[in-house]
Amino acid sequence: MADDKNEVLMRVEDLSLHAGGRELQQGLNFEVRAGEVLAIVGASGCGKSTLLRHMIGLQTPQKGRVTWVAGGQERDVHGDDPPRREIGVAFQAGALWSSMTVGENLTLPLELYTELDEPQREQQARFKLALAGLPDASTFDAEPSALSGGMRKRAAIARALMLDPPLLCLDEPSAGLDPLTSARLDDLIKRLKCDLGTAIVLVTHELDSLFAVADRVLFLDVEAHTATALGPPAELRDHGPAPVREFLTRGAADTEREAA
Amino acid sequence: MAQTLAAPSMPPGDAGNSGRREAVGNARWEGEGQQWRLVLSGDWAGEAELPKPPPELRVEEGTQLSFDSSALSHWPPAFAAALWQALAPLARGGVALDLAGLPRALQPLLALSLPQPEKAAKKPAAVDEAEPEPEWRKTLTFVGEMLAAMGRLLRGRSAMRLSDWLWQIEQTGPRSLPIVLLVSTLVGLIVAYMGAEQLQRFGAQSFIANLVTIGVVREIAALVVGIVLAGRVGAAFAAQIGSMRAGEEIDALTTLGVDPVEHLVLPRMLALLVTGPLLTLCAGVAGLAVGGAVAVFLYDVPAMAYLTTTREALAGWDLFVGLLKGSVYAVLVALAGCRQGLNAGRSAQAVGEATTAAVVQAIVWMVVAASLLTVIFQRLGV
Repeated sequence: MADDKNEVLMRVEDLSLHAGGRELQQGLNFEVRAGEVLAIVGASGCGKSTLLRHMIGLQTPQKGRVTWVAGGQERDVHGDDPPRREIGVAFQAGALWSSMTVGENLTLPLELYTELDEPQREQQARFKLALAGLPDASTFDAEPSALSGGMRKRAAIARALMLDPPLLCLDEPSAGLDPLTSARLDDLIKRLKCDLGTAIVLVTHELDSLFAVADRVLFLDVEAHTATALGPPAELRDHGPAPVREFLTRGAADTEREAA
Repeated sequence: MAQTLAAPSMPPGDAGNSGRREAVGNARWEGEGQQWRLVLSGDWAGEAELPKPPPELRVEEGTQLSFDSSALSHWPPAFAAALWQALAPLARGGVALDLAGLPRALQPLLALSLPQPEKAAKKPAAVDEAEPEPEWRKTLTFVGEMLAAMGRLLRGRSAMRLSDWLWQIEQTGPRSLPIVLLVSTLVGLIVAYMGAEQLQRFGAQSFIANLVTIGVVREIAALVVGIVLAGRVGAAFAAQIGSMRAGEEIDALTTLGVDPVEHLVLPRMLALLVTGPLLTLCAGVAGLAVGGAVAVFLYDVPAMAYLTTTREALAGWDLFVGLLKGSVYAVLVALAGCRQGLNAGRSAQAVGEATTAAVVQAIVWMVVAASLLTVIFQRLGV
């Protein structure tokens, strides 16, 4: 289903985001297409993570709707038959279940949604761990608390990939990681997109990752309270509205200065 | 020596008393219409309150305010804060402030801290958000969800894992036993002593067995178990589930379609439903044994007589009532702990608050339940 580059997976229509009695964003309209990396960016407090929580069905919108449209039929993300198998989620701090081993964390989705027996589940889990860059066999039996921050994020991505979802949602995958680890995660995201054809929605602060991996950028303006730009990052940096250009070039200038 | 010590701390003229007070700080609002000026003069050491702007100064766009500080001789750091407090409402209201007349050191401080009128004017739209749910409704919702989850379990369609349940039984049962035994032994001792002391006055020592049996088996064992579980287990439930919530682990379950109540609450609740009555039984036996020892060794009640009376006293409903109470208290502990954990905020501090709330709530609920059950059983005559 991910072969067609232009197939729409998810549609967000007229969505408003609220938090603490304030309206963060309103009138959000966009689509997530198969096989693309869509980055959601914006200043702190603009509602990036809240938007992601609405898209994966964790928060119900007061206004607007999010629909899963791939596969011929429309399914409301907040309805009775939400697309759980179709969306993989990796949370900011990994959110591996602390009462289980890494292996149990990975096999639980298979236990719930497939008919695979235990050896098959374990094989799948080890394969997905290797895919996410954790080939070491001991990781499977480790407790999540024994892993480093970067490993935990990789394990979380592996867990999100267990059901081979066409869409993967990542909440700040590189937050709190050192530049090298974060660059390796960017590579992983690119590989997932190219090799598996998985569409990825990514909330990020890091402009490096943004230019490295994103096909399109959705810019949430913290003052206008709506999305003011949507397009390829390089194009927005050169021709986008002023706040977007400022957001995208200031970071780039910093990066160049660091590199020099 | 004394001179050098005293000299630096008392620079001439900086002491709070004496003639320094002559030149106090002075502030005047001057102007009319849209042109205003704030004239600051004198020494503001110790003074940090500015007079309010006069009512004629309209806080609106177009009004301009400049400053004259040529006669200002000295100002402490607190002066900047006082000035900011007086000027911030004006700046927010759109009054144009020309800071050039202020002392050079004050200008950047105020320029940074004062709100920009055009930005401050654009506030995010307030939203009529639904009133926060009252606590009792949250609790009722939670109980409903739990009953629904239990129903699904009975129909064999639950995400609860057997291993979780067994693990929770191990955590809440055997590991609580030592402290339950210790507390119930000591409480049994106290009851036996107090009762025996009174009964001895009438030469009725042989009734110690009745007193201890009914008191310990019917009421005290269950209460001891309930309180130990509230502190040991209820708090742990709230902390575990609360930190899972803070770490988005519960969100991760929800996105997979796993009901957190089924997955996290049910095993804990059912574990306490098993261990509660068993611990109550152990607590009862320990209390009875100590009561017997007190009667036999200190008040010369024959051991066989004590045993016979105890058996007679146990024949009624007391054991059943005691075990029922133990189960009810255990369920209340699980309910309070899990509910507080699931409703905790998303920070480390919120986890701590949830833990405290869980213990307090469990104990209050227990006392209320104890009173209700006592009244009900009295009415029923059991």
